[in-house]
Amino acid sequence: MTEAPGPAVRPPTASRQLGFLLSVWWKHMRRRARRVGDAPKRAGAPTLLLLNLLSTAYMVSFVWRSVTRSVEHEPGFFAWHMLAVLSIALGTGVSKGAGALQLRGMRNDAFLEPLPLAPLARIALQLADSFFVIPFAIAVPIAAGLAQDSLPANLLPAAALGVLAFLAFFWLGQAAVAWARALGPASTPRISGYVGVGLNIGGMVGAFSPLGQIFDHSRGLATQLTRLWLAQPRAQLGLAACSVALVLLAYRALLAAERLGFDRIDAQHRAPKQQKGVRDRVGLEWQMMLRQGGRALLIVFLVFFFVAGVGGVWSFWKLSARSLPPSSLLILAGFAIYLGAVQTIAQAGRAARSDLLARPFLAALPLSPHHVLDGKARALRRLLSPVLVILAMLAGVAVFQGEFSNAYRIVLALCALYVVVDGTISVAFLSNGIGVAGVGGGQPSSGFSTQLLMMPLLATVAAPSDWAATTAFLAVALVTRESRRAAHKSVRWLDDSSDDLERETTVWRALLAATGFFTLQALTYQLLAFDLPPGYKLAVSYGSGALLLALLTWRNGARFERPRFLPNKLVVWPLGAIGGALSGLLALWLAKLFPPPEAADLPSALSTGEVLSLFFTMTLAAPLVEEYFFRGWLQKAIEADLPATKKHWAFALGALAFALAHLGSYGVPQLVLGLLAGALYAFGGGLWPGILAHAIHNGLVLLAGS
Amino acid sequence: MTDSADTPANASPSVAASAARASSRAPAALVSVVGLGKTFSGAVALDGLDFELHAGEVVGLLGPNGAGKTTTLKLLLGLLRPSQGHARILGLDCTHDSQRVKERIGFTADEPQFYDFLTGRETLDFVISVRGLDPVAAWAALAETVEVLDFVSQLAELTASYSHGMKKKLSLLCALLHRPRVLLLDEPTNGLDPTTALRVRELLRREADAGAAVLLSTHMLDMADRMCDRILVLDRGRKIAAGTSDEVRAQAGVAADATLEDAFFKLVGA
Repeated sequence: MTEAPGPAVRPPTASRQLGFLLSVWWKHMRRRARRVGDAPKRAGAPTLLLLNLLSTAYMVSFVWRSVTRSVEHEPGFFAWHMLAVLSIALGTGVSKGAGALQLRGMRNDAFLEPLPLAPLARIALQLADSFFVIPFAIAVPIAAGLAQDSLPANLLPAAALGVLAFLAFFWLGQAAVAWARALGPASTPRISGYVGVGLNIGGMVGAFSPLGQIFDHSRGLATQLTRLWLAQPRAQLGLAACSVALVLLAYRALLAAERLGFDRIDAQHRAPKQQKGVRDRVGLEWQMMLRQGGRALLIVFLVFFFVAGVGGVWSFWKLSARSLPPSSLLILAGFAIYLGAVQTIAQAGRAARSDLLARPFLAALPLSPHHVLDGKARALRRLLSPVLVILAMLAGVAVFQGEFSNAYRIVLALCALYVVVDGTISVAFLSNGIGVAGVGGGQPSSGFSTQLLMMPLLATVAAPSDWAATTAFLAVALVTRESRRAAHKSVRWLDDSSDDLERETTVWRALLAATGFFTLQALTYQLLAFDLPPGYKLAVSYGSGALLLALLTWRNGARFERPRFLPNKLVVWPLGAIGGALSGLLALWLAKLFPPPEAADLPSALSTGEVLSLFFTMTLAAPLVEEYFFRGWLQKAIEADLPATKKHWAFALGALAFALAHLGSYGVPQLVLGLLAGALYAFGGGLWPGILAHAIHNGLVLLAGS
Repeated sequence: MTDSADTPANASPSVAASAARASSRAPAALVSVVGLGKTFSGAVALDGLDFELHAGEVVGLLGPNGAGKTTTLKLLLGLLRPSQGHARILGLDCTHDSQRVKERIGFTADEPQFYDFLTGRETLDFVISVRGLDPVAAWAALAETVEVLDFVSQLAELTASYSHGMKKKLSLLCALLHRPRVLLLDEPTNGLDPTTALRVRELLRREADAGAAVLLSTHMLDMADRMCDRILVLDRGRKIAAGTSDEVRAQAGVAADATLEDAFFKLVGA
């Protein structure tokens, strides 16, 4: 008698299974978000959300405005380029699929394995798992559009199409891997990892190569190549940023895929044996990274990175794109801060725990993420300090000799790249708890923080002035540092929710609020008020900023302590008045010596209404809003964050931020004013004297201007 | 039925019982493995493994780390594709028909992982629905097992808060709820307290007596000695001994009253 399979209970159809799967997955994700999401919420989620909305809106409007050329001019090239982008998308999807596949053992849904789940349902779950790709899917078509200046005139449908196409190809790639896993050989994950990287590199090379010109034919190849390379610096820029980021991502996914081999060794307890001879932690990291990634791949990656880097540097050298508006830097930075930080926090919190749990032998080694992280941070500081000295020197050169500007930008960009990559590695260390993955973090999605951090990097090179580029670099460094800290904190908090994050994140929140504040101002200045005479524009812009502050204060959205207005001491009043007058005079004197770049914007002929509006904005609204913000919030926040012995430096740092925000007019008088108002606030305990000084300063400048 | 759980504790009745069981039941094996091998990029994890598993049998897979125990179980589940040979469960090919195999077997992983933010009850509800079982009937059938495993109060907790042992229990419940005829268990009692481990052993024995075939990998030699009808000892992917624990002792060349541990050390050359 042969054993009949027997009428086992038939599992439901694939679609019903999918229903169960999604509902249970959603329940899990929602609860997880509630738990893990509390960490970013404590870091000021309402502010972050607002910021995100504003920056997205601005990005869209910015692209809308910047795209001038129609696709009709170079249809063949456009088609080729889109092909390349889609290949990259496909490769990313494949890589993600491969990474996820390999991580299955570490994923919390490993218990799904023995269930009779239909392949279709599994694939659908994979798709649902990729929701986080959406911001990236939006960013890539935008970057592509920026790069080529050749999106169709009707941008919105084209952008939507680009997003859809990207998502589609991304998911296609993932689904292909999932299918291959369900039906194909056991080597699928490894193979798909290679395929993913291949597609990415193919897409990137395709995008850079002159092959696209064949589509556009009729003109000489060499001429076309030169024209393409030199005439479209932004093409190099956008594509370089995107492609490097994509390759990083693909490489991460591949390393994750490679980790299967590592898992196997791990499972067979061979790993501890191999580590016996390794005394040096760095040596251990390096050894494990090599084992995970494979030497050949590492070399391929490094060579590729080098080639892309050299190409990028060369194109930056020729860079003449100064067309990005300064405010867009803040937008880009804000966008990156939000997405990068939230992603990082969410990923790191989960991953550090589950991965450490999944690899107990690593947890037992003196390789704890905190150790590794601290070590990395120390090494970074050591490495960065000479870099900062050189930067400062170069900055000096750049100020006095415009010719060095491009060289300075290159150095800045390289430093920013270094900081970004290093920061991401550190965060990956933390999020993987294993400290050896290098760029190949275990979580396929944690790569997005890198890509999002790439955006301020882009801003570093494309900034309209060297000052703005420096600011962007500082933003990159700050974002990286804060991401790292946020990841740290959230992990700690997840382990022990009684640990209070709130007090420590004040500067972080203040800076986010600042970005939101300037974003809104820029947005209203550029968009809402574009038809108004220049005199009213400023009023609308400051009005919106005031509105935001009022809203945040009213709902206590940013959860700052409300600042006091009335000072404790009488003496600060006359000090404020005198100081304001002096700094105003200084501003006038400096403006005579070095006409500030903003001067061109000042309207020559104004109506009475405009004059009145300008007067009220400059002497009332602006001082009120800015003092409230820079002194009332930022200075207080910095003070709370500084160690007890250094609290008195808060006013100087606040003033520096104030000056940086006024780089358009060189910021020197503003630094003086900021120092004065900050000192008055710290000494007198109230905002009014600072506001008075600010109003007098602005009033003097305005009077002299008109 | 109840004393049968204790039967394997004494060596000789165990042999008789298993022999009787083997002869009284149909010879067709629920699980048959023929020349099964698996190579991971050159490294041989499993080399030509043959064995059969009959209804009512509890078979233990023993072996040092890296011997191929988990690989065997993964191959049977269809998670890995064999490099050579094949495995059949209930007449279905484990590789090409893994979907139908999964419908009919229960499996517990070595390191069970669940959705952290579901409770144990929700997890079981989910498994019940994905398997297409009637929830009321399934829960009614499960109630006793839950009771036996002392898991009632933990059902309402999130699995994130579970200890390793609790996850093992939940994993076991997931594997048992559809009353499969074949159970593949990777270290089922690892991390359980002695009382629960004993209960799990009784539970598995009862499943076997009800006609199920149980294949479990374990490092707990005394447990294997007491509860398994047959033992397979693997080392570096090869089967180095097989049979009842007495037969294994004989193959190892240790005295009949020696512990299985002694036999094991002798076999793997430790």
